[in-house]
Amino acid sequence: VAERLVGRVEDLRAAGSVVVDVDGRSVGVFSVGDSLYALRNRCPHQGGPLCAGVVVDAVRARLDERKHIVEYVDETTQVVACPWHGVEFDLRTGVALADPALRVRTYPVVVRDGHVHVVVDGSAEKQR
Amino acid sequence: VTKPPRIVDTDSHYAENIKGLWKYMNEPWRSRTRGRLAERYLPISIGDRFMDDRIDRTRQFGDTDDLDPGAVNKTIEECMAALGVAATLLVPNKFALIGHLSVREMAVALCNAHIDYHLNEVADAARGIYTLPVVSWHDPEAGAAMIDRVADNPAVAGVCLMTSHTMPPWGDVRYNPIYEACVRHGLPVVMHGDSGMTLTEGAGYADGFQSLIESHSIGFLVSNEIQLTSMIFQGVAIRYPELKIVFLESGLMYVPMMMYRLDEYFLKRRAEAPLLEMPPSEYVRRHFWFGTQPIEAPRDPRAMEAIFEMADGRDRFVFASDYPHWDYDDPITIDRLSFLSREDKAKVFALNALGVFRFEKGGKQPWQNALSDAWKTSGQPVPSS
Repeated sequence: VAERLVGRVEDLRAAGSVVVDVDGRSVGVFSVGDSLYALRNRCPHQGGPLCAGVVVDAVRARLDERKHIVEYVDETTQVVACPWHGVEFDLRTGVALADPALRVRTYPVVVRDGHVHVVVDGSAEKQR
Repeated sequence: VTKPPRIVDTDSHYAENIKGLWKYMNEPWRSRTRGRLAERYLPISIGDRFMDDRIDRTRQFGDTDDLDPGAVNKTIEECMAALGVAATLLVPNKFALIGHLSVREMAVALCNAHIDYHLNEVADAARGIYTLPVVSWHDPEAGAAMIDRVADNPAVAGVCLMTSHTMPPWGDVRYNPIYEACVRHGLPVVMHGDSGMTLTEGAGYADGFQSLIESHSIGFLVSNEIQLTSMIFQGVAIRYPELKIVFLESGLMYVPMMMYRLDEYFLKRRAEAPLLEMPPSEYVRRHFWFGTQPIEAPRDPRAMEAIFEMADGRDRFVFASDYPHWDYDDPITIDRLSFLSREDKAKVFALNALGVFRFEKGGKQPWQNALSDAWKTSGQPVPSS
């Protein structure tokens, strides 16, 4: 298991996200609420800079008793939307909301001594 | 010529006499429409479908406006025998343009009168002649009431929705009462388009076509694409997962095109259709079927084989003749597809339709035995639905 330093946690908290180089690969690190996420900064759709996209709560829908469609914002799921075409990925899993077969690599993130690190190991590699 | 009855034909028509439809209507529509129906509701067209006698128009049974109901029945059975059809679904093509009618109560009265006429004078489950009540978009509650009223008749195999000029398109939640009624009675919905005037009146940017070859080439297709898009993204299959939906009259090649196209749009704009839990094509693969006519005929058979592969055609496609219309398909269009096994052809010609339409409300019908026998004698047993 190897770790790559991203920077100070308070800087990431303030910025919301940062894109860093991890062993030659561009990786976006996000701070949302109390959580930290890291995703490969390359959209599997057409190669766009995914981690430059906005982070929003997922829009969901349910049916009411008349089977009419009621849309709502799901505050338990944050997505990053690729700025090229809007394709949404779950920050926790890297899975595209529109198609479970489409996913971007995610990395574990740890905080040590006030600094954020991206974890690079074999298990993360297998996710690709 | 009589061929073994090995086919369930999911789309056929006859040039029915609707001048007498007023007899089935209640007042005030009985007196308001008496004697004027045929002229008023026949589709207008920018060309002669029979190409100035190049195509044999006697296939339309001559001037059926003068035929009595018994004679109409005889011609239907002659056509079934000529094509090898064991059971046929009669779609009332003179109602294909009902969506363009602006008078709400008249549309409701016409639909009710037509299904009563069909059930009284034409349809007969025992002889494999089935009908579909047409529900227009104008009044969903009245449509649901009509379905409830006629659904117990064994000659009703489904419910027909016309895809031309529906406001709003059929995916809208305002049509929930119609879909609920279909599910309540185990009836599929059959989406049937219309032809030449779809694009002359349904979409302004196509006004001005100069010939039927232009309007008819894409009229049905665009209507079906509009309704399929609406039904997918508004989640009809999620609101009513038991509902089976059959699209007719636009051939097969648009099916995988729409699957891939809607999938790509969903990838980019999922937040606008958040009810969907899978890519659109997955709903197509589970809830939708497609009539084969007018089937495309690429010279390289691998092109059509690819269509069957992409759209799960062996399970999703149902043979439709559209007989006797000018662009009807003979069963040879499926027989000649060499990449289909005999088992595949049994599915497309009969088995898939047996699983979709409601044929056994009145118990097992004689035509079902004839259908099984026709396949057994050709070495391909076909279980009943």
